[in-house]
Order: sequence, then structure tokens, then C-alpha cells
Amino acid sequence: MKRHPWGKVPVVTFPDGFTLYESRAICKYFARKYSFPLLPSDSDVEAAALFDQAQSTEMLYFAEPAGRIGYEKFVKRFMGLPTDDAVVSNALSALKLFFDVAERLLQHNNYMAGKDFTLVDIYYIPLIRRLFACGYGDVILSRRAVSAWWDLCMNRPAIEKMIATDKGAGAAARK
Amino acid sequence: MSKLITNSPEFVSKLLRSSKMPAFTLYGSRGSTNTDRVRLTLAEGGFTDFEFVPVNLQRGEQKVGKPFLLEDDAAIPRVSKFIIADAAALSPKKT
Repeated sequence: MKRHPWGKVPVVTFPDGFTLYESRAICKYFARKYSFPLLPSDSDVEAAALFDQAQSTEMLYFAEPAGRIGYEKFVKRFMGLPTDDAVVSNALSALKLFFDVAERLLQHNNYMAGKDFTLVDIYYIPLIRRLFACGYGDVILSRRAVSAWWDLCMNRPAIEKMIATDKGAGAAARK
Repeated sequence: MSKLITNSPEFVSKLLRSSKMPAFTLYGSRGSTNTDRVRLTLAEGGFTDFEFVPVNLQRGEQKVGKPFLLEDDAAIPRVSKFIIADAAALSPKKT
């Protein structure tokens, strides 16, 4: 609780005492601090604004319903609680509407914030993988441009490697 | 002793490397999409100089003081290498 006022993860702490929570804020801080090529340059004000726009879109229109599905179909299962099917159904409708719009946008841009891969694309990945795990991968795969974008994300060597390593660790943990 | 060190840059760099603290500590959870967001960012940036401390959300370690505050370092495992379970690993063990 001392590290995160709401008692959640992730939290990051530095030897000098600097502490940060909220995953997107942490990601952005790392990208800036260590110069990861995942953000538009500060001097390009328009690109930075489009990045912020894409970031808000992800948080408000995607992560909210996707998170509800993940909670109902994944988290609750481990807590032994029943899924609220009405919540899932509403969230799924919202997600479909969201990806209908994303489909149109991605016909003109390769990535969520424009022509380059950025942090915003990374922001989507964990919850989309959770949707696949819950059996809702069709929301992505049934939309051509969204599906092409997803392939671009999944085919990035670092991401591919991390996912493969986690799968290996998961398989080992089940043995 | 100081002569030995100054005359041996290799030794100095070895000493520096072995005594170097990781840049930061990331507290996260297996199967947490929010934690994975951060891990993916670090992976994309090719950054590995950090310590990952898994927090067991099901046991409420993030809510209570002691283990999470690391007053007793032995209370939770510390790992330098990721051991992250995927979704299925979180399911109740089949017995």
C-alpha cells in the first residue's frame, strides 16, 4: 500500500526512492528515460498530439470494455465467482463498435498512433491477448486491417520472444 | 591493493559489474495485463537491467504491509529472471 495507494500492481521503485505506479505512466517514463524509440519526438507537436489522442482512445474506448470481459471471464474464474453474462455481452458490443472504427482508421495507418509502432500499440497487447484467451479473438481476426495490425505487433521479435518465454514458464509451472 | 586495481582495468570493470545494483525494481503479478504492459515496453526497449519482484495478488500481498513493504526480504521470492506463468498456469491445479 505504501508503494501504490490503491494497492495494485505494477509499481516500480528506484534506488533513490522514486516510485511510480499506473502501467501506462510507467511505460512512458521508461521510454523517455531510456530513449526507447516508442514515442513521437517532442519537437513534432502534431505527432505528439496524435499519440495522446490514440492513448486516450485506447484507455477509454478499448481497455474499459476489454478489461470488463477479462475480469468477468478470467479473473472471476480464479476467484470462484460466477460470470455476469450481461456485463460480458454489453462489453462485447462496445468492443465490436470500437474495432469497427479502428478497422477504418487502420486502413490508412499501420499503427494506432500513425505510421510508426509506438507505446500505444503495446498498451493494447495484453488485453487483446486476454480476449483471445477468453475465446474472443474473432473480434480482431474478423476485421482485415485490425488483424493485419495485430500481426505486425505479434511478429515483432522482442514481443514474440517474451510471449514464447512466458508460455514456456507457464507450461513448466503446470507440471 | 590500490596498485593492483589501477593496474588491472579488467578487474575494476568486473568489480563494478558485480557490485552494480539493478536500475530499478518492478513489482508485478503473474497473469496481470497491466504488469505485462510494462514488461512488453521493457522488452521492446531491450532493457534488462532491473529486478522483478512477483506480488501474489490472490494472497493479497499488494494490500497488506509486511511482504509488500519488504520489511522481511525473505517473505516474498526475488527473482532476477522472469518466471511468469501464462493464463492457464493460474487455473486451479488438477489433482
